[in-house]
Amino acid sequence: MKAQVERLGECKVALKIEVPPDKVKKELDNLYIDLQKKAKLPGFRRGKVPLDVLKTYFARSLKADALDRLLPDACQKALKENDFVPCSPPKIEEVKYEDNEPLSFKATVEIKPKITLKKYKGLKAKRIIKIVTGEDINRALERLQHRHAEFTSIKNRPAKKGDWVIIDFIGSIEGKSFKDNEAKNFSLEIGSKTLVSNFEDQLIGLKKGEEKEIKVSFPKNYHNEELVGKEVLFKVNLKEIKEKKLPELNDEFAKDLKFNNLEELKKRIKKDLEKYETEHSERLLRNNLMDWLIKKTPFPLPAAMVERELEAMLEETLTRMRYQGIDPKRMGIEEAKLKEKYRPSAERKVKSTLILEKIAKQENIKVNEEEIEKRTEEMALSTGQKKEDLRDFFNKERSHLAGLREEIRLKKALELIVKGARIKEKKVKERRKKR
Amino acid sequence: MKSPYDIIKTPLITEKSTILKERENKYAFLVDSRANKDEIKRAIEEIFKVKVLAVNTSYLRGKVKRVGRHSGKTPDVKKAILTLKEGEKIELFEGT
Repeated sequence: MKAQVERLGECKVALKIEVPPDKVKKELDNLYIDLQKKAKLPGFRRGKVPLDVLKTYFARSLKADALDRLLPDACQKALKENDFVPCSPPKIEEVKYEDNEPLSFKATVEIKPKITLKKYKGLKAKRIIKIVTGEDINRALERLQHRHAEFTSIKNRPAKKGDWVIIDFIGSIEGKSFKDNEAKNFSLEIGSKTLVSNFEDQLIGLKKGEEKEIKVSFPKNYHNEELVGKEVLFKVNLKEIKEKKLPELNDEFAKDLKFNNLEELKKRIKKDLEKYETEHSERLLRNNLMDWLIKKTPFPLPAAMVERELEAMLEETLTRMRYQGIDPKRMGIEEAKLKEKYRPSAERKVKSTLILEKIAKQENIKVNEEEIEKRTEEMALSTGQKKEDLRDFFNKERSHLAGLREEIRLKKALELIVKGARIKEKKVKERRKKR
Repeated sequence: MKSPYDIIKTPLITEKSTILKERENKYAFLVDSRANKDEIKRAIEEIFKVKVLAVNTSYLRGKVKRVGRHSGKTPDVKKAILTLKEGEKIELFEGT
């Protein structure tokens, strides 16, 4: 087998491959013999059809079958010979085949870039641990209060800031209506800046059952292009005013949340926050290490891998949206724009995957059954599936199992970096910036 | 005169006929039931440009087939087995 390599870019190659005729013939013969065993033609008992007769009937389809097998096979061999690792299915073109002539074709494939690793052990890193302070606990408690707030209907006073109101409104631009200009029973917190700011302010002072026309000019950066910079007249009918009443912070409140007393609730909150903060700082640490590695190891990115990662991310986002009951189409979300938004993180992910793969290979990291078992258990816990079902699934779907194995392998590579790193611990009261 | 293509209907390719072809240089065809051996011989010689040494014919009765309570009959056919001169062959039967 001969293969000519032509570089089409940093991570794209075209291979011109020739397969000698006798190899093609052997493949064909094998196929014929296989076929002979099960072929049934009129006038012949099953399996008794002579090869000559078979050939007249199946020549064309068998040739196609043989090519289907030979092409990817030859492709893979050629890639291996040249030490290329493909990261996209090869595109096969210009297939030429005549009887007793070598089979020749061209395969274009994206390959994983060659990575030369800089040092990845003994990296310097900081583990920033945030201490959970009383302030944090108070803030968490406040959030809880808001979540368990009670609303009381108010009839005898006009609306003021901080009230929740239920309104109907119809909007128009110079007497004309526009898309989605109407809403019924819309609940709104005055001063929450959910809607365009001066809309909410103009509701202050309205009484229950009152109607008012308010003028709102939309800002230039508004997301609905139809309304940018326009002045819109809204007819508003205030249906109800509600006052938000926060529950008092005492043992009673804690009991409602199934705790014995307030002290216990606080303890629990502290524990949860601490757990979250540790996980968060571990994640940050890994992110920082990875960022550093990515910065220090330059290599070209294979477009196909980024594209695949993007597709996966997009799919995930859309599914999540649908799960939350948002119709992506109605929200005016364009896939192309979303893709551009995700591109940097997809690229980062691909880069870190490639680097970790390389490290895993260099360090000869292996994954054993126990680790797979453990991970399966974790997954079962987080998805609420039965452990046995999940295991069966992985045993059946070999490719998923391989994916799982790879995932664990990369994770181990990352742990290796973390373990090898010289980490300074630093405790802070306030994180400066959230990633 | 009848065309040779009216007499010869189709080559008969079966396990038996392939074996005959390989061992004894004999070729089997389904032919018009009214044709006699002479006509068959001439027709084959004209179509395939070969020398026919002998013609054996047999008349195959159609089978009675039933579909539910309706019964019918598959057509009767005449089979002709022709022996060719040694070394000659009919391309139609050769595999590619």
